[in-house]
Amino acid sequence: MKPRNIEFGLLILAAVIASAGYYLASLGATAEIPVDVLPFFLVVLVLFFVTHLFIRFALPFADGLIFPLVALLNGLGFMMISRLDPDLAIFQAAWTFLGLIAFVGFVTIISDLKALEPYRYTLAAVGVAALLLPLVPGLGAEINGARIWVRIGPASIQPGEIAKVILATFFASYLAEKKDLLSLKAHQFGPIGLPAFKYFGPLLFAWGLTLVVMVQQRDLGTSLLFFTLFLVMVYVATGRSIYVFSGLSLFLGGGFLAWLSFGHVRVRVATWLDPFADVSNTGHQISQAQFALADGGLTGTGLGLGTPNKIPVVESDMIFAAFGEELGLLGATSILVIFLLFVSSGVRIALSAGSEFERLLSTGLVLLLGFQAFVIIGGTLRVLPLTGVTLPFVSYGGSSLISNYVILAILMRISHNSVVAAADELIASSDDSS
Amino acid sequence: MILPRPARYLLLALLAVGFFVLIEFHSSLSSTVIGLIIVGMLAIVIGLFYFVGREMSPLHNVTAVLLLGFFILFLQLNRIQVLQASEVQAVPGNNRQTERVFGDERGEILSSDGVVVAFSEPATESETFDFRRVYPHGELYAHTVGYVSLTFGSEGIEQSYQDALVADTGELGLVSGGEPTDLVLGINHELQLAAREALKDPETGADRNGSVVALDPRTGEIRALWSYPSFDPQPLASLSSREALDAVAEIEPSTDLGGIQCLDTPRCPKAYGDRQSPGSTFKVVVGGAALDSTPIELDSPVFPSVEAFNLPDGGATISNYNNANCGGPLLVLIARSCNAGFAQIAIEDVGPDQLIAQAERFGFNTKIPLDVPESDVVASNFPTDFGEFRGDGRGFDLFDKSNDLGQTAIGQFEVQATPLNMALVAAGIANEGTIMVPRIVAGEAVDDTTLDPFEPQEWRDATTRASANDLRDAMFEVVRNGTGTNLQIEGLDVGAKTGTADVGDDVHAWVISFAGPVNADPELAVAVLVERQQGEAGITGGRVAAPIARELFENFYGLDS
Repeated sequence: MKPRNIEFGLLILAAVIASAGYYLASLGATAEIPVDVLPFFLVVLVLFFVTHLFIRFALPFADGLIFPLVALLNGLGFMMISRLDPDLAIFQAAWTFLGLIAFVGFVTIISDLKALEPYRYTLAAVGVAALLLPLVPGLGAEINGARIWVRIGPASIQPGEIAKVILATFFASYLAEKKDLLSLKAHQFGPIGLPAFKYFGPLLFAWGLTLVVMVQQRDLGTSLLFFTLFLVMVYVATGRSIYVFSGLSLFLGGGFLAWLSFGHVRVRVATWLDPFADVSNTGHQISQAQFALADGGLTGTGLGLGTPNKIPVVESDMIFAAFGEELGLLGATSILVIFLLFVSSGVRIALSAGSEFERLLSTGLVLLLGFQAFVIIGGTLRVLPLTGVTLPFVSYGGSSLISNYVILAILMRISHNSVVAAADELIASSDDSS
Repeated sequence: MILPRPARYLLLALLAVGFFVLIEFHSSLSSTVIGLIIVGMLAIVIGLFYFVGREMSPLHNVTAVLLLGFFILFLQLNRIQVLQASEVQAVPGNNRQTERVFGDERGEILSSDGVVVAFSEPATESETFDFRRVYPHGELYAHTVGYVSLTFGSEGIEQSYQDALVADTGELGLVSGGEPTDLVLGINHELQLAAREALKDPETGADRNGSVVALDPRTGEIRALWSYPSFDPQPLASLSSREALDAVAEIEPSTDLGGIQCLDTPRCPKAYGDRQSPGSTFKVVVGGAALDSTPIELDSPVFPSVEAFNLPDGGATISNYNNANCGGPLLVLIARSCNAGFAQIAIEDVGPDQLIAQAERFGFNTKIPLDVPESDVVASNFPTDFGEFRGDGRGFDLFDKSNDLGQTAIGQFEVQATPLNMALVAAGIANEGTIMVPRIVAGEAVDDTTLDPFEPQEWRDATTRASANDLRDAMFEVVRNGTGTNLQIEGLDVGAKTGTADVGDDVHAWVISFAGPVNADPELAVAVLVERQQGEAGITGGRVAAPIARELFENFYGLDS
């Protein structure tokens, strides 16, 4: 079957699931989704189908699974946000609209990602500048203790979200060019061979800078993600596990230093190990999430019938707990499975990518989203200390949604181009043989 | 070397298991074991990378790690949502269960003599909820029945019997279930009132801080449980959160609601939620240890009459009350409450290990399984470390802290007991050495006149039957000829042990006691603690606390004078 027809069929399924959820949530005994949110939900659904039409036209050969999966995540997220806070749902509809506009715009403008490669240092500079923006006095704003926001008029945006995508592009292009040099063993220390240090300079600089900035902004979640993105891309580029192990030791060392020097990090770790020691204060958020999940049980309280609003920041960081409470173990596991399917589609795209740069970029981005889901769900479930990042495509939040749609655009563009390139090659080789 | 596929899966499974063990049991494992597990897991990861990873592309490896991560999420999700869900729901501060059923109709709670102590009445049309909970007797049952509050969750048996009290309306609240169940307490309303009256100062009528616990030694059913200060639970159960908050602010003007210290707050159920030095009432535990595990009998040997016991190496001395001369066989030591003799028995005959074991058999160092929320119960404390063996005394083992051991024998040093625990000590002796599980609720009411009682359950064997009978005789002797003569009641066999524990310049006045018809099994065991009485001459457990126990026995047997 053609990928676009698969996509259309699955998109209908996703729309049915999200609509059924929306309908159930609006029936719920305690949750009342006001009637005036319904048009927004319908608009979101229609937008998905309009985007599908655009993909038919612009990216006919792209992977057919990934867009319906994203639409399902986004649709379920919108459904849950409407149930949690109808006012936010209206904004989320606007963010979804802007995200899809970004998707369409990116796909239209960038017909070949390799065109970005020559601008890698410009991209690095733009990425770092975007990260630094919230620290500019008068422009930056602090929300919930993290200085990662920029206020423009009435809206607050997180430039760090889009900086992630930009810097991933820089890493990918740099590594694609220098991978052979980085894989060389220029220095031998016993059994461990290390590459020439000079090739590491720009990478370490960019990485160190972003880490410093993010620690400065107290955004531990994003810096953890960045770190992982960097490690994964270097490892995938060079195939040398020494990078992974030295990176992990660096991380453990850095984590220990952060634990020693920052009170808020110690509090995070303490509430991770024993969330119920201080249920009303430091452990409040994570305890409420555990209470909600425990109330959900196997099948959940039913949509609209739980009390997920008792969890602080439930609409963004903690939205997974809301699914766990109202849809139970079954529903929460479904969310996990959707993310796994998303990651596997992304990895398939990476495997088929036409160039090393595209392979690295798609790998980095898809694993970034997969790992981000792992970090925030792990934080909600106390597998990891809680760090505030969004659940991709599900949580409330404009910056995150828009930058995630840009990532989707990159993945689908790479997917489409690789099929076209392979077909061209096939035609060329058959021409040769004739 | 290529690792076969099953071996890879086995290693991955081992990783997941290791992770699970770490999350699940990290609090009960020693740091060495935890370290070994972490090293083992790291070794597996390195091994996987070394043997498997190099055969695969890096992209596969990274994806496999992420997959493992999601698998761990799935395991943990199962744990929180299903395996441990009921424990998470029972965490103190988790009010979700209460909130879900707040305002539903709940069953009535009745005293054993048929007085309604909690009931639900329909709320008015304009109110948010269908029913309001009414506690007609105010502070009298605050620490047993508890309350159900929208703001503060539920307490007491309103919480621990919530499932029975609230009609099952199905998980979604959509099914109309059966009638809510009515509960019957073991508490006798008249006796509970008598306990409150008796704790007041007999001369001025002023309230005194303290606790009174009365229970049936044969079944563990609580007959009266009162501690002062108490509070009226009614405003906490208000349908308006504002009223509930104001009420608590009035009860506890300066306390943060997150972590209430039990001392001096009326919401603290002192009878089982606060522990104090038991003083000489603890001597019956030492007596039990002597009878159970040494050749000492009730009438032999005869301990010398001395003013004080001195440790052989010149450590501190343990003196008798008022430095009086005191001695004789164990029967007399108990009757006259000789400190020196008990210090000698604990140090020279029983030794730390036996005494620790005996105290724990009497319920120390464990939370008593009373049928209230477990988090409200405080375990009595008996110290478990008396230092290193230091050498031979006068034919007995000497330890670094033998002096502390002597102090524990008279219920001082770090020995602390809840009044409920001391009532169980008396009950265990009265019930031939067996302590029953104490219960506030006697059973479910089938209809207006029939009770479906809960089966009594044994909790601990405190002493052997023979030792218990000896101790019972000794406690009879306390009332006949010892420190508890205030408890002599015509027509009853009463046994008791008094205690006067020093707390700074003040004293805690204690008595533990039991009574029954002449030559029959005791039917009521009582512990009384009157806290912080001014430490003047003559202010003793026998004089301050014993009359309170007497009032209870007289009320229970209808002998009001």
